[in-house]
Amino acid sequence: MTKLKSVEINCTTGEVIETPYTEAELTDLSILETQWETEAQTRRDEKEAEETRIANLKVSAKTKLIAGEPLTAEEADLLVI
Amino acid sequence: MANTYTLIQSYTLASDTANGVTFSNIPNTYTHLIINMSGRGTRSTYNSDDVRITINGSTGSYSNIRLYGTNNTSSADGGAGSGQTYLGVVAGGTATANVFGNGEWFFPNYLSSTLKNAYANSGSVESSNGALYQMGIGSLSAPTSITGAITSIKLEGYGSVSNNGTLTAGSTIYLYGLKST
Repeated sequence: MTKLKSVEINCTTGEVIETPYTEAELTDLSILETQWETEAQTRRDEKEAEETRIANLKVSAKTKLIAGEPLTAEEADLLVI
Repeated sequence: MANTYTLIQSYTLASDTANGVTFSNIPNTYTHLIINMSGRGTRSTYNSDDVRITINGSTGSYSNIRLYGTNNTSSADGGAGSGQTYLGVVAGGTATANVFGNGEWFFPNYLSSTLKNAYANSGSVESSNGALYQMGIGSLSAPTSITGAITSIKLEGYGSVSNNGTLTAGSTIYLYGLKST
């Protein structure tokens, strides 16, 4: 299937401009794909790490509350809105 | 409340398109704009894909706030910067074949000289029994450097340029104008 670089629809005239890739751009795509995938995975990893950090803090805070131990400021922040 | 709802333009992708679909020369005869999209990205390993919004071609600093629900887990993110242009979700590259996400993007008072905002309600269901899905809502503020009316809006997948940001053939986008009187 043909792959387009972009599509522009002129809302005033109704003209549709479909721009195909040049050969040079197609050659570069494989490199760009790797870059974007790396960036996407980094973003996903950061998000998962943050979710894991918060989950761990909740467990730690709960354990300390039950044991009557003082919470860290970070743990307390989870409980105070 | 708007009492008219006029289709300005619509477009269905006949081919996979990497750098998104741009509605340009948007007429200044309406009060608000609404975009509806049935869409699917191609980003590998993702069951749902982000939608990137670019207003008037600006690469300035956008701000966004996004809330997600994935199965029974909720999450949120957001921030400010040139990369904070994502709002809403569609189906991703690893979603069930031929499944498209859907969503609506609302641009209130797009002729205003003050800050431009957009709001999204969107979602992607990946399987026929709804076992896997993601929904996304949120808001986006355009760069303050945009002081005139919104004249163009581009929608694309995450990343763009490469396959990772591509919207697939069959994705359909509708641009509507609403008048308040």
